[in-house]
Formats: sequence, C-alpha cells, structure tokens
Amino acid sequence: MSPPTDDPEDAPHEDAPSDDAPDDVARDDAPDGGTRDDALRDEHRDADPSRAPDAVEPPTSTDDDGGGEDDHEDHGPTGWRYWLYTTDHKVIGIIYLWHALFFFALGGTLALIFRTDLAMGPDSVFLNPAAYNSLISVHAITMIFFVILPLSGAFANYFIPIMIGADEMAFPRMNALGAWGISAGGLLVWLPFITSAFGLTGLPTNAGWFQYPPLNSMLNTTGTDLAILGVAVFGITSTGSSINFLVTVLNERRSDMGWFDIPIVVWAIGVFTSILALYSIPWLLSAWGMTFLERNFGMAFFTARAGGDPLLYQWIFWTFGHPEVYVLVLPGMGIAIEVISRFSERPIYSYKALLASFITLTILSIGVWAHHMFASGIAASRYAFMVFSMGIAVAFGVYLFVAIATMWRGRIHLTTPMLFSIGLLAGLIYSGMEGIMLGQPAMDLELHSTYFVVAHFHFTLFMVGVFGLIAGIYYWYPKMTGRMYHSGLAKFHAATTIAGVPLLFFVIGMLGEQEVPMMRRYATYLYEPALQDLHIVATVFAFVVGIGQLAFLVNLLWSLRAGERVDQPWDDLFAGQNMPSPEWDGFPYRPPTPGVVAEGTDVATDGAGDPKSAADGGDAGPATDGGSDAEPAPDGAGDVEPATDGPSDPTPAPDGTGDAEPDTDRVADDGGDLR
Amino acid sequence: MSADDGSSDGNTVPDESASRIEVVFWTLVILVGLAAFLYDFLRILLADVPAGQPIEIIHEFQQTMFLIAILGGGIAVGLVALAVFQYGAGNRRAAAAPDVTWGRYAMTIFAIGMTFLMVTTMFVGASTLSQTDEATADEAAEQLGVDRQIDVDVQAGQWFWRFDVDGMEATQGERVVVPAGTVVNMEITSADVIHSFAIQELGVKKDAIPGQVNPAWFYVEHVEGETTIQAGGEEIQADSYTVTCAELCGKGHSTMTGTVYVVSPEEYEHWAEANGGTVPESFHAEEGDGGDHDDGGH
Repeated sequence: MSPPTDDPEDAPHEDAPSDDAPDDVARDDAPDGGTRDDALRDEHRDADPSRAPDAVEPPTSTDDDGGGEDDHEDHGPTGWRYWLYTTDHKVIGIIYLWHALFFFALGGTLALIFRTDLAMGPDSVFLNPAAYNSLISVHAITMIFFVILPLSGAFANYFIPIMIGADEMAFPRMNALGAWGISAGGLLVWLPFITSAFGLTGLPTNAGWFQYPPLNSMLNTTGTDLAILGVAVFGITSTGSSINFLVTVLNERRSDMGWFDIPIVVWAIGVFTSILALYSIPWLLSAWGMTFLERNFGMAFFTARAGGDPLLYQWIFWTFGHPEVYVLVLPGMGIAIEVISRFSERPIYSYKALLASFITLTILSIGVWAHHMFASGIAASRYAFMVFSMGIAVAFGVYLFVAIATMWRGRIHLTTPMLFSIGLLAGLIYSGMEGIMLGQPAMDLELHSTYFVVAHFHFTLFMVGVFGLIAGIYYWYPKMTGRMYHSGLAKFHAATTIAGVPLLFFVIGMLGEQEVPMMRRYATYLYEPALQDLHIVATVFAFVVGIGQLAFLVNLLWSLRAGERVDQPWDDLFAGQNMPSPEWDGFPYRPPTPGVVAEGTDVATDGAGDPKSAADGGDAGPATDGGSDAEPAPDGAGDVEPATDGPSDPTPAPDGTGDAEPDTDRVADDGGDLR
Repeated sequence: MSADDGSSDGNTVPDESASRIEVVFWTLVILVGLAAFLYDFLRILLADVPAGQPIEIIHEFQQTMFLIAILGGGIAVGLVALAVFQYGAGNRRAAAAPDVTWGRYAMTIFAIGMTFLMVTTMFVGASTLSQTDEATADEAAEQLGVDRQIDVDVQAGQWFWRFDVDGMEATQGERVVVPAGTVVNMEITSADVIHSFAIQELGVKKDAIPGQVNPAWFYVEHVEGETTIQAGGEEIQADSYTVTCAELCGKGHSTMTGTVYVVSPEEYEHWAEANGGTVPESFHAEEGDGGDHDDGGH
C-alpha cells in the first residue's frame, strides 16, 4: 500500500506498521492494513507500537482454539487484559522480553550488592554469611532461569513464526502459560526477600543454585522450598514452551521451506535449544522434586544416614545442569551468527558446517555433565567425561571458524548488535580457553570451586549467552517495538560491556589463581585478606558493567516512548547485500549462500548500475529488493503491494519497499554506524 | 578488493561518517579484553613452579595447556579484532563477493587439526590424572620413590575440619601437623553435609561426602621453614598450607578453613612425642634402607 500514497513527510511514521506486511502476508487475506493499523496504533502505540496490529487474528486463522478466542481478540481487550489474555506470539514474546529484563535488573543488582560487600573487607561487612549465600543463590537462579531462558524465549516466540512463515505458534495457549510461568516462578523465588523484611520468613534459599543435598534438605528455610517450587513452576511451563517451539518449527513451516532453508537462528533457538530443554528440564524437576519431598515429607533419597546417596543428586542434577548451559548459550550463538552475517555483508561461511557444529554441541552437551563432579570421588568416570568435555571444544571451534570466516573480507558495520555479536565471539574464546582447563580433571581439581570457575561460567553465560541475546534485542528491538533505540546510549552500553566484562571476569579469574585463591561462594576471605585488592578492582569493573546495563535498560525504556519510529532500521545497511532474511524481507526465503549472493550482486549491477551506490543508501531501491531477485516467485512481499509496483517480477526494478523509503527516512536516522 | 567510488554519488553515507575512528575505537575495545586475557594467562604461565605434589605434576601439564590457550585464544581473538579493524565499514567500501567454494579445505583442516590437538590433550590429561588424583597413595609413593606414608582421616562437619593422624591419640582440629618427605594418605568423609577438602597450594581437592570415603594424597619433599610451630616448648620449623572448604556447606562455609603444617620427618617425631603420640609403622616402612631416622624408635 505504501508507495503510491506516501508522501515523504509522513514516511517514517506511516511506514512503520505498513511495512510489517511481509510478516503478515501469509495470514492476512483482507488488505485492511491501513485502517487496522491506525485504529490500533492509537490504542497501543505507547505500550507496544507496531506489534499491536498483529495481535488481531483474522478469522481465517486456523490455529486458534475456537471461535470464542477470535471473538475476544477481535473486540480487542484493552489495558492489562490485552496483555494478560493474549495468545499472540508477538505479544507473548514481548511479555517474555520485559520479564527477562526486569529480572536482569534485579539479578544484576544482587551481584553489585554482594560484590560491594566483598570489596569492603575480608570479613562480612553488611551482609552476614547467610544473607550472602542467599544473594548468590538467588542471583544465579534468577540469571539462569528468569533472565536468559525467558530472553531466548522472547525471540523464540516472536521470531520463530515470522521466520518460518507460520501465522502463529502451534500451541498459543501453552505459549501464554509459558509467559506467565516466568512471573509466577520468579515471584516465588523472590518473595522471601519481601516477607523476610517483615520478619515472616527467612531470606530466600541459601544453598547455592545447585542446591546440593544434604545441605539443601537440612536448611530450615521457607525460601528453599519456594525456590524449588518457583523453578518447578517455571520448569513445567518452559517445558511446554519448548514443546511448542519445537512443534512449531517442525510442523508450521511454510510448505516451501525445506530443512536447510530454516534460518540458523531458528535452528538454534527453536530446535536445538528446545530439544535440550526438553531433555534436561525433567532431570531438574526430578532432582528438585526429590529434595522437596525430602525436605517436607521425610523421604530419603539423598540423605546418607537414612540410606540415601548424596552423590545421586549430583548425577541427576548435572544431567540437567550441563545441557542447561547449552540451552543458555545456543540461542545467543544463533543470533550472533545471523547478526554477524548481516552486518558483514557476507553470507554465513558454511550453513551446513554451522548446523553440524550445533548438532554436535547438542549431542555432546548431553554427555559431559560429570565434569562438574570431578572432585566428588567418581573415580575413572572422569576419563570418559574428560573425553567428551574436550571433544566439545571442536564443535565450538567450528562455530568460531565459521563466524570469523564470515567476517573475513566482508564489510563490517559496527552497529550495536554487531558489536555485541563480536563480543560474543571473544567471550566464547575466553570461556573456551578457561573451559579446556576445567575439562581436564587433573587441572580441574586445582581450579574447581575457585573464582577461576566463576570467571569461566560468567564468560559462558554473560559474554556468550547474554551478549548474543543483547545483540538480538538491539537487532530486533525496532522490529518488536516499532521504535529505534537511542544510538549513543547503545554505544555506551556496548563499550562499557564489551571492555568491562572481560576486565571484570579476568580479575575474578585472577582471584581464583592466587596461590591461596578466592574460593567460590565465600562470604568472607579471612584466610587470605590480601585478596581484598583484587576484590576492589573487580568491584570497580562490576560497577562499570553495571552502569552499562543501566544505560541499556534506560535506553530500552526511553526508546519505547520517545524512540524514533522506524520499521526497517537496517535497510540502508542491508541495501545491495542481496541477503534477505525472513523477518525483514518476508518470503520466499532461502538462506543466503555465496552462490546466491554472488549471482544477486551481478543482477543488481546490471540493473541499477553501481552496486556500491546502492550500498551507500543513495538509491536503495534496487538494492533492497535485490534480496528477492535470486528467489523464485516472490509471492510473499508481493501480495500486499499494489500490482503496479512489480515485486513479482524477478528483475531488480525499484519497487515499493525501495521507493517507499525516501531519504528522509534515512537522514532522520542519524547515522548507520551510530547504531 | 574495495571499491573506492562510494563517495562519488554525492550522498552522505551514514555509516561512513567518522567511522574510521569508530573502527579503531571498537578494535581497541575488543583488544582490552584480549589484553586482560593475555595478562591473566601469562601470569599463570610464568608463575613460579610450586613445590609439592601433586601440584608439580599438574603444573607441568597446566603450563602446556596454558601455552596452547594463549596461542590459540590469542590468535582467535586477534583474528576477530583484525577482522573488525581491517574490514570495518570505515576502512572498507564493499564486501568481497565470496567465492562459492572458498576455503572449504581451510575449515576441514582446521577441524581436523583441532580434533588432533584435543585428542592429544586428552591423552596427556589422562596420564596426568592417573599420576595425580587417580593414583592411590601407594602408587604415588612408588612413582615418587618415597618410602614413607602416613594415614590421616579427615572428617568435615559444619563448620570444622578434624584430622586423625595415624599414631596420634588426640584428634587435631584446625591445625594439623604432618611430616615432610612422606606421602600423606587421606581418607576424607563428612559428618553432615557435603564439604570439599582443598589444599590449593598442593593441588589437592576432594569432596567430603557423608556416607562415602574419598581418598586423596599429597607430598611435600622439603620444609622451607616459612613459619614455626611449638613442640614441647621448642620451636620447630614448618611450612603452612591453607585448607579451605570448596563446596558450599552453609553459612560457615567461608570460615571453614584450616592449616596443615609440614615439618621435617625428624622434627615430626619430636613433635609427635611432645604431643602424646608416636610415629606410625608405615612411617618406618623402609627404615633399614632409609637411614633418615637416626633417633627413631624411642
């Protein structure tokens, strides 16, 4: 609809919702975009600008559970009901996102609190040891279960259907349950902080996030039960979500999307992560369920004096625990490789090798869990688990190779998502280099349970898992909210985080490599007061990183209200790349490969002259559409557009998208690389 | 490779403005992490060789691994930074059109090479493990060529360590004295929750698990005499090693520390007598050959 009617002035404003069309095409038979957009934009613009229109399901949708649902969606519940009752995958994705960011702020605050306490002196300063243990336990549980998982869930919800051309998730209601499971679980875990303030209960669980029995069974705190219940609630709902993601990818794909047409990010988030979550979470529920029974019903599974075996718990728990790590990092890795490819102007070096590395990671990650238990007297099992733990490095190596080869000889746009993706590569290397030390039982016995391990898994979870997801947030935030984030704050966030996180965690690592090192989970370090200097340095860096994250959250909240309205924020960078991606360019889609890209470049050159000028954003017309040039029958983007504007022809004629984005749009975006 | 005609079309390209500086800036930001990595890992690589076993055996292996990590990780992060610097949009006008089949051999070679490297470290690591924690105290004594052993029962509890040294009647608490030149054979268990017995300076770490006895051993050859302890009114020279608990065991976890004093074998006998004990039989296992004990057998 856009090209004939738009005048340049309105363009940024008007384009925002209308260019969502490619996503909606599959399900929108009625070309009523304009009115629908207008009505809903007024209603929801502030909270959820361009997403709101998509919340309306056309009556033709086959995935809703019944007519009743269509009804209430049509009438459009407003206010809190809109959010609470929704089964729209995009709205649910946004619910996931804000849950995750909320808990990210909480968990990060906890980290700063106990880091401050550690820096202030070798003895407890303002946190007594029980409170310290409580804070570290809740920090870990929050970050693992209520930040990284929901954040990847946010992208899974929002983008899986878009990227595979489905109109909805396979099980929308189960999806909604997953979203609210985060609130419920998080509330249960965090509730004791509030009740303890009134003296009703003690602090939350303080048995560490592994909750090793018999300690866990002996702690007489309500918080431990609540943490188990909270994570159980979340675990059950996220099992549902994982089933949902997996089934959606398997069953809801466009009929013309073959296995090797699935974008890598969907493989990572929707398939491998879901498989691992489905495999691992039941183990967690078993382990924690048994401790719950032990704590509350006098049963004995893990209590030695009652005939149980404490080590049994560790076997069960880490069978969950290690695949869980990959549940946390694979989404980030998937997003990063997608972003790296886009902003390097190069197709992924080898789609199939990358896929093979993800498959290898998925399989091997199931077989390495006992490397968490090298010190617990498991005898010769250590040799086997060492072999797997070292072998998995090869799969990461292939991933890194593919990523670096993709960047190589490209043209790298240092936008914020790209910066975080590059940071992820560095983080993966740091984490891996520490990981190969810990995968060796002989060395692990020296390093186990020191701050070296703390450094290692923070590189893994923060600099790989979270960095990738942050890259995803920046990359897709305009897509999800219709607003651009503030580029300056984003760059500030990137600089403080990408430089600050390695500094912070290498100092933490150094604490673990002293002759008498800082031991993990020590509330005090009276045995070696000399460690205080490094603790102070670490805390300073922690605050640097903390300020960066504050800028991040402020930026996202500020942009939600005041950010510039955009729809295709990266068009000027993607112009001329001939590398379509379904969430921006619609269908049909085939992952860009060197062959396709090279071919497309030629076409663009022939048709519009200089591909370079297209890349520069001068006349983005031919370039933007170049994406579909190499594709047969571009029915996706075409349908919404008036027939005159010829997206159905495979020639690079300037089409709607290109023309509809006059330079005003681009000029208003002050600067590509500033993002 | 780069086309240089980009500026000719008169449009100010947003991502070109000042981006050369940006490229340098972000390259430096990435290099900050690399510098921290190299500093941290080189510190370990160049650290003094510790005295004692099994740390010395571990250390040998560790140096190799850290060298691999510094080279591998340094090159990898270096390549990332180089890619950013060299191919950053400010420094480059267009992406090179990728060759359809480019570099497949490179990846295959890389994967095979990395597999080979990892398999090598598996073998070296396995052999190191079999010499250190997998070895029993007897095997350790044999491979170290030491003929003396002493048994120590270690019991952990909330929040204390208890050491029952063979030959000593009294249980020793936070401080335990053991002889040098002797393989100290420990059997570690716990009275309540899971703890973990760690002497970081010697590379010893073993979980103390209720209902399970885990063995561990360590060995210190010489006493350097950095501290002194009292034995029957006299001061004798000793080395001290910090014992820490390495598994979260409740609110007293971080104060659950202890000290192992290592004294020379002769002075150990002296100390044992002064504290109402004797030296155990195993201590004199090969006394005839050893000749270390000119005053043994009171």
